[in-house]
Amino acid sequence: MKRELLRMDHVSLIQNGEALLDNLNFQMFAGEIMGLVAGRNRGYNQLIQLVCQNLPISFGTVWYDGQTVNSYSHSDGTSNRVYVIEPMSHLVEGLSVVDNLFVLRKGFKKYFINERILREQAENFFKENGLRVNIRKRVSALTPLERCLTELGKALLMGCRLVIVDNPGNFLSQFELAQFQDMLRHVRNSGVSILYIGNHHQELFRIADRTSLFFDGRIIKVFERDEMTDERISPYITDWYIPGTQANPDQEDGVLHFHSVHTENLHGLRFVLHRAECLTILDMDNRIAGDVLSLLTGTQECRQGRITLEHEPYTLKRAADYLNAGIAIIPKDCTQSLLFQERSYMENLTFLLDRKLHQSIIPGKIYRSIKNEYGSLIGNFIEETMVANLPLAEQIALVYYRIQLFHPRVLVCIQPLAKGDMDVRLRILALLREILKTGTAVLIITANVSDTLMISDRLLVVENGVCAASYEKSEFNQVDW
Amino acid sequence: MTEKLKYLSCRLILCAGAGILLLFSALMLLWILCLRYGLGIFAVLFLTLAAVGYCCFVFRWLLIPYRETKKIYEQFVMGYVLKDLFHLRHPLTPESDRAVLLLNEMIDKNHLINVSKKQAEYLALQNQINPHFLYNTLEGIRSEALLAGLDSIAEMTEALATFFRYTISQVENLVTLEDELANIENYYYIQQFRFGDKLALHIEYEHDDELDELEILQFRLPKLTLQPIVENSIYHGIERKIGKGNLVIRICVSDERLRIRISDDGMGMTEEKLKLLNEKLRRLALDEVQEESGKKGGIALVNVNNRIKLLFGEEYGIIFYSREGAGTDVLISLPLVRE
Repeated sequence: MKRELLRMDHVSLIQNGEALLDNLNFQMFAGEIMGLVAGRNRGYNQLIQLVCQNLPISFGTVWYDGQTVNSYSHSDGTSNRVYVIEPMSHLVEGLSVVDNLFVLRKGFKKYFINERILREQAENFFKENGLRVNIRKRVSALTPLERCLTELGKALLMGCRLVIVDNPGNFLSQFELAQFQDMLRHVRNSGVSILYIGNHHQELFRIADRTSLFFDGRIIKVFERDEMTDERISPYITDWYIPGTQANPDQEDGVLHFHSVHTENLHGLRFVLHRAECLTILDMDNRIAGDVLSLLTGTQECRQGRITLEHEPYTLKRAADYLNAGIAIIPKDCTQSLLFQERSYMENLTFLLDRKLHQSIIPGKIYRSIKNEYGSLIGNFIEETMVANLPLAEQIALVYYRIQLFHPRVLVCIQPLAKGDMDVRLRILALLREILKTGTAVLIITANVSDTLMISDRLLVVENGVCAASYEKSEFNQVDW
Repeated sequence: MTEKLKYLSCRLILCAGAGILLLFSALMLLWILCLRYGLGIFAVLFLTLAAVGYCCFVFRWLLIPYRETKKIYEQFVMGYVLKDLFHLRHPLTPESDRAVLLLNEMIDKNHLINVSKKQAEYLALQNQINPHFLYNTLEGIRSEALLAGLDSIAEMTEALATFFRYTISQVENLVTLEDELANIENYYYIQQFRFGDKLALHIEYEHDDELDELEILQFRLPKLTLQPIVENSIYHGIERKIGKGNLVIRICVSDERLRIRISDDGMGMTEEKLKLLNEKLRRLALDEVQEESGKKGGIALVNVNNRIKLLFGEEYGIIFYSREGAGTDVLISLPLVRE
């Protein structure tokens, strides 16, 4: 019989007059993988926090492992035995895996440490649980997968009954993710529950036993195993879908060519990107993005092969001034690296315009024209004097509007959908679609394809720095995830 | 202010505040004397620490429990909780505690009256109609239909008689899940005459090695828990939908609960309506049992929810999940009752 591990009944959390959690009902059984996908992120951090720690709530009751641990009337602030595996490591980088597992554990009171015994214990424990990690390594030398497995081992060692895995697809490669998911299934079978949080419902549907859809502080739907299909979830996300007509890629002439390019991580990468085409590169090892970027920005040169932009060799000199050459890049954390948080919306929006106009001062007429044009799309946010005050979705949109205004020949996006809830992601896709319509070629490099396929015209699967498979739009349904 | 001061709690807080102010004033005086005339600094320091410790003690031992009790009273007034009021961890006085418990006993009687209110309606109906007359008439229609070779009318009449027999005749509180599902299947059979292929019913069980389908069917629940919800799903969800509608009843048993989810892929409801309904179902509004029993649409759900909460506690009841155009899921949460 299923055993109930966590139950949140009618939980409300009101802070500063805003209902962050609103009559939320959520429950998990022991030994299940529950997927959690956020349609809109409001209250999402508070939910995770409440699962981990019994902080005051405005209404409702929380049960964990058969006990009432939190209620509106009494919250003692204690922590539940829950471990969170997220992009940020919870291990101490300078110490060994063994030290992280045992020495830093609560209740470890030995003054003299016999490292050999601890190592043996750790090795046995990892072996028993099927965790393949070289525990002699320092944490700083671990690969992302090894780091996740070590944290999983630590959680099991601490006796945690629930492990929260926060968007592993954003920091693990496809290969690593598959291995990590296998491990999670193994742990699930031993009775530990996993709350698997993901931005892409397709990713969750592949691993979860059930999936909850979180929206504005509430669970709006729980999908059972047989209900986890695109067809069943589509009515819940159609409101957030911003339709747009597809661009017509120009198949005749390529804008950007990679001719058997070799670098440290690229071993003969070859592709062509056409005008108004969206090409997605699925980086199975999560390693090529850095090399492609450094090649395009001129910080690295091809060891072998060559790159051409509009049939002209893309030399180091051209690459050093890549913006003027017609290439724009949106990195993973675009709001941090591309926006001036203290500056106004309009200052940020028109930032690249001087290069386009070849004038250091933007004429007032053009400035006003841009404000009028984008004001109708953005609304009052355009008047914001400090970008830091904007919500994440608006900050990301600002980056894309700036690119749209700059109108590059090629736009390279690194994991564009890694951040934000479903609402934000669908907005990004709509903005990319608008950029494509203006004729710009878009190259997306990602470790997780799920949603990007909605706008992609082609998909290249890159393994060990070389193209392993190529799919046209009509073949996307054949892709084996 | 005068209005507030009529409450003993306000007076106590005022007195405690004044006492602490007095204490610290005295301490300040002691410090002045100590620094000016060189009195024993350690003694004053000790007294200061003792005063601070006393304040912490008052905060943890008095103020936090007081706030907890106050919060429970507030939630009770808003209609969110009932049981918590009778299990206060920190009652105000022994007399108030006894008074509240006495009130509990009195309310319990009222509860029983309210819970049986619905049953009383059936009894009244039973008296008015005279069930034997109704069953005999239905049997008569069935016989005539059979003689005329109208099998479908005969079957429908039989289903209707069975439905009335279950609804009107057996007045009991808890029935087995098997009985409830049989009634639903019968109700679905009657509805099929109207909806035909447009309506499809599926019943699914999540069973494992420890518990098979037959054992699950023996769990008990309040009578007529499912039928009003199924009726609601058909009329508000599927009837207005263009094309086929599916109704799925999924039964899941955990170590502590029996969960029944009734899902339809009908029209669903707006976010505002859903919020309002769930807010209503969160509360235990005793008055609504009587007030709205005559109205139609969604009221039966509030009644069912109230009955569950009154019989088993506030942690059980009904929750709605819905989205316009996608359908509605109604999750009924019940304790595991075998006898």
